[in-house]
Amino acid sequence: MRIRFKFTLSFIFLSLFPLVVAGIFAFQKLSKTDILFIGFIALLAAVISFLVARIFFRPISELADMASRFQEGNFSQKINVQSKDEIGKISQIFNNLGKQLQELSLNFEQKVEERTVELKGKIKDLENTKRAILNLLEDLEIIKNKLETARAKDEAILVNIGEGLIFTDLEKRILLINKAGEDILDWEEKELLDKTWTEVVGIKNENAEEISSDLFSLDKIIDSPFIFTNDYYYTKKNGKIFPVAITASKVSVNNEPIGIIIVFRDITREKEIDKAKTEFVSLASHQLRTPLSTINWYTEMLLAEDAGEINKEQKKYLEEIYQGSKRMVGLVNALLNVSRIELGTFAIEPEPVDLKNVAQIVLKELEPKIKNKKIKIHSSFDSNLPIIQLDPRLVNIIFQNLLSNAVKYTPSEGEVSLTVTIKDKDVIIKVTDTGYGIPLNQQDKIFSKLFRADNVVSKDTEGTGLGLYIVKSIIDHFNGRIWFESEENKGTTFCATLPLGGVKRKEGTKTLG
Amino acid sequence: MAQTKKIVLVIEDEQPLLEAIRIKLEKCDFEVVTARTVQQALNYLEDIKTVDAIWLDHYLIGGDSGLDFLVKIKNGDANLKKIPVFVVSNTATSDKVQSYLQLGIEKYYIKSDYRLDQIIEDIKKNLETVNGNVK
Repeated sequence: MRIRFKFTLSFIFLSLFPLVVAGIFAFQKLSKTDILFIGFIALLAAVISFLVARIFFRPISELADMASRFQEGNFSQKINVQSKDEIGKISQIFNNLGKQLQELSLNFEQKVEERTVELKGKIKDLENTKRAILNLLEDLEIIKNKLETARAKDEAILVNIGEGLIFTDLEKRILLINKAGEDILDWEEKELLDKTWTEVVGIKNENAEEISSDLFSLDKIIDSPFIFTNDYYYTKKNGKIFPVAITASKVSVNNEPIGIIIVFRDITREKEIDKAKTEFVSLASHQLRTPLSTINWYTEMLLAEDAGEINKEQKKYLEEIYQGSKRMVGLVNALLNVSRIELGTFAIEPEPVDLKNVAQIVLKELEPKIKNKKIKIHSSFDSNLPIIQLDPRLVNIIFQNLLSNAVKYTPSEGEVSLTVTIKDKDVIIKVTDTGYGIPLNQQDKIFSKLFRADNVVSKDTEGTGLGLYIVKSIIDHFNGRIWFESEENKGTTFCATLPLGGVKRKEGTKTLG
Repeated sequence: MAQTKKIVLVIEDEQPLLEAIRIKLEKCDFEVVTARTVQQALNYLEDIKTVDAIWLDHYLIGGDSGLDFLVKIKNGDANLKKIPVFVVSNTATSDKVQSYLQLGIEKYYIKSDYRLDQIIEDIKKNLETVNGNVK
């Protein structure tokens, strides 16, 4: 509207301008009538100008207005198109343009809105992610701290344990050795890195001969939970060898072996103590038995009247000496057996054993006592009883103790029965007596060393309280079981199982006997 | 019955035991030579070619043991190798017993567990078998 008005005014002004100029020049010479006429003409010209301006310029002015509104982003206006001339066409184009622009603008705004919503969502996601990452970083920091603490702890343990420790890769190349390891071997870690463990320690036997490295082959280490040995020697930097206890095991990550860890310890001192203990037992067995042999043999000769006739009373006294000495031998033997069991130095030497034969020999040895007490003996053996790989000496000790106990702790004219049967993978030895029985409140101690039940201590003064302890130890070493049922003054039944499959050899320095 | 007596070489360091063995063997009609060291025993074997049996203890006077003695006679001439050896000792370590048995002895006795007459009975039986079969 403003524009159109300016156009109109300026047009009127322009059309009036010549008239005004002409009027000013003519004014001095003209009459009143002339002036009125001229004024009328001028007014008329102005009116005509106004009308012409209105007709021709209004549409242009409207178009200009519209363009200016387009610029402001207002596309909703319309021009009222009446004429069919060029201006009408332009107006029509303007109207269409306005319409299209409006549509475009609307679409655009909608899209912008959509994108804005989308963007906001993404920003939120990003913020969430950022928060999550921050949390994660915080957690990682905590874990890192924990790991560092654990690492420090591990390091402290590695450095401070008294055992030598070597960690190698699967090629046995040394990746780490702890302080104790360095001290034991006299090497420094930096000298050892990337060298092979077996090459560095030079595993030898007691005669300083290199042993085959098969013992510590990778396959063996990977296949077993760990390998332990205390039979070998390591070599120090200076070539000196020393006995060592070695434990080698694999280190796995996600069940995949990645290396070997070897823990080792100098056992020179232990070996010395072991040797001293063994020597003591050996010496004691010799030293204690020698004087007993002297007593035994001389008494035997006196009793045999090798040194001349003896009277009845002398004979009786000598018998007492002889029996006492025999008991002493038994006691020494039992004590030596106990010390061997406890030192773990007794050997198991499997041989084919006929259990029936062993049992019958033991019964024969007991015959004087059985006859003396008028005890009835029943024995039965499974007809399918095979020959079994057992240590005959140890089996003898089992039968000897179980049967002699049954005879010893059964009053005169009682009964003792022995049955040997097969059940599943075991031989069951069952010894039943009609004897004094074991008091209920002492049954749990019956296999204890040096224990003797109250009710028999006064009846039999010869027992040592070692027999059943030894029997149980032997049966344990055979992987068998022993148990009993007993009622005081009714009798006792002992059952022992021995594996039909026999027993494995156990190296030891002593035999029990 | 003018049969010559069998000769037993007894090697034992404990004097009282050596004495008891000698007396008992003589009572049982053996002729006895006694030694307390390995060297002494080897000297006897050198001098008396007709020793029929050897009664051997493990620990002896001097550095050498019964085992050293046994190794020497088993590596000696054929006649020495044939003499039956009865080891009577109180030292019952399993490795020693095994070593003796591997070298070839008749029997290993734990001294305190056997009577003299039991061991002598075994020697007699052993010599009778040898007599009947070989000599």
